Amino acid sequence: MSSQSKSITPLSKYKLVFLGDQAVGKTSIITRFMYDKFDNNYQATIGIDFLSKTMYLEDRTVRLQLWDTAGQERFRSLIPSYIRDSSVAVIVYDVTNRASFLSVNRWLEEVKNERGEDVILVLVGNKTDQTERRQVSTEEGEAKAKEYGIMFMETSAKAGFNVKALFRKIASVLPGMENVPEPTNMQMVDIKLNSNTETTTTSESNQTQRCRC
Amino acid sequence: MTTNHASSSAYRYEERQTYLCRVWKEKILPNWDEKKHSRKLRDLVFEGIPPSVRGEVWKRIIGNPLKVTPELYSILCEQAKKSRKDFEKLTSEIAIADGDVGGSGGTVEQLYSRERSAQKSINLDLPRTFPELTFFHVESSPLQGQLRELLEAYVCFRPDIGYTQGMSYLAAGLLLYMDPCDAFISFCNLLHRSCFLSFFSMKLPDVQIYLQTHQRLFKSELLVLYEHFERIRIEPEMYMVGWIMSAYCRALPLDVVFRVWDGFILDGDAYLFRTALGILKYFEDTLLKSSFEECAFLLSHIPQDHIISDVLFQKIRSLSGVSKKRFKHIYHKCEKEMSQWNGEYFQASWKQQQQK
Repeated sequence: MSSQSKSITPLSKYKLVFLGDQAVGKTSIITRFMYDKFDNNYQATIGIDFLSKTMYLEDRTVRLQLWDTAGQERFRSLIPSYIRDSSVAVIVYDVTNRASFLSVNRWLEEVKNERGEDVILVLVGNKTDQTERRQVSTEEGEAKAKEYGIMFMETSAKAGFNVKALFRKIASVLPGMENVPEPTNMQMVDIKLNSNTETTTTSESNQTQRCRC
Repeated sequence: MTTNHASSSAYRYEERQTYLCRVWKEKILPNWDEKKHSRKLRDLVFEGIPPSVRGEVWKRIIGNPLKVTPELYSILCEQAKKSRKDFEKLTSEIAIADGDVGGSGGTVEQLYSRERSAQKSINLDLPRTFPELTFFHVESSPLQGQLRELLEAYVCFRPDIGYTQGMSYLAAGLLLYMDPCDAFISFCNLLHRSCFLSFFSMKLPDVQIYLQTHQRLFKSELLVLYEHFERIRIEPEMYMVGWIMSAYCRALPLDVVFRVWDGFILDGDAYLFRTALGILKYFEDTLLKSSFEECAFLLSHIPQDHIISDVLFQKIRSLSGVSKKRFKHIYHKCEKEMSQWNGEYFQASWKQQQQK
């Protein structure tokens, strides 16, 4: 078993869950990142959608598993099961909709209640292309992120602004920076599933400690 | 040669449809009371109800045990209109109160929390229901207006349930085949008698009982795939919630969806869950060869262009172990186990507290 795990270098996999009010653009951000496109006619996400993508960084390659959730408050009872083993929770609000920004606190609390400090939190204000309709300033977003000590970024999935940068930023703080695995093909991933989860959790706690800078 | 073959099979299909229409119109509908529980009717429903009589047949099968009257519907519509006006007033109050971007006074916050209402959710979802069908998408279209009215009236009818994402698909589907009042009556009754009420109110123990029921049936019908899913950790929450709550509108092509609804309207929840297993069986070979990521992706993005309707319904039909009776039996078993488990859990935690 151990000799095997040395010979195959697994692709590090990370689960990212996208949370936030209805129609703030969770699906749009993911679609922009995945396919570099934007569609005006999105269907509402019901339940949960899954997508994954390999990201090639300078020093390593990571596999991101993206979980896109339904935004309506009613679905919150499902959230705990969705964020159970996630590495990152991305909380999205719409800068043209103050109510969605006010909900951020509740989303943050929800994640913290479930996972404590065990998860990397990212706050994202989307739809910056609609400058005329803006209701939440960049400073307010920053202040909120600072209050909780989490990462912050503003994006426009429609204009393609900052979406790649967002994912690169997230990737740069993912746990497990110390091992630099080679890119592998997909079949290898599921052989290594269990041992991989273990390494993820252990390095995650290291990361949490390191991250408190 | 192939085109000839294709056109002749298309011709046969047309011919069959014309024949089915005649049977429904001349034999079944005029003799409804006598035929409604017949084997013949079942066979006809599972062959797919022709679109021209679908609305009428759905209406008759669903019936109206809740005794919702057209008068009640118009009263509810009036109430809905009033609360829409209140909502619009509230929105404009917010716009005035929130003149400066930085302001976050208590009153504005209060206004916002009230704004997080069913009304708002419905507004957001209307253009996002069947976006491929432009008549729901365009704001000025009569169907979008009817859809809004139906959903808002339901919120007035059952404020304890309100509006949940997913409802708009079910309502839109009914509106495609019925006039607004009949669609509303059918909507209320359909929700009332099915798992939709549990899913739409998102009561966790209830939803879990349904998911558990699905797992049991899955295990007994498709053991190899079930074990594969256990191994790679694909859980039913990942696909069943979306499939059921959109009544398959997000998973399957529309013509297939409405044929699934034909079966669901006749046989209830059992058929919805049988369809889920039918989809899993349809993609069984691919799923068995796939990793967690590939399975999770496939299940949340079913390749609709690849679905051959007749093959899918053949798979659904072949799952004869998921009958109405057996579904009910397993559901009640799961329900009992769940309440037992909850009982034990509470007893244990109560004892713990006592000891403290």
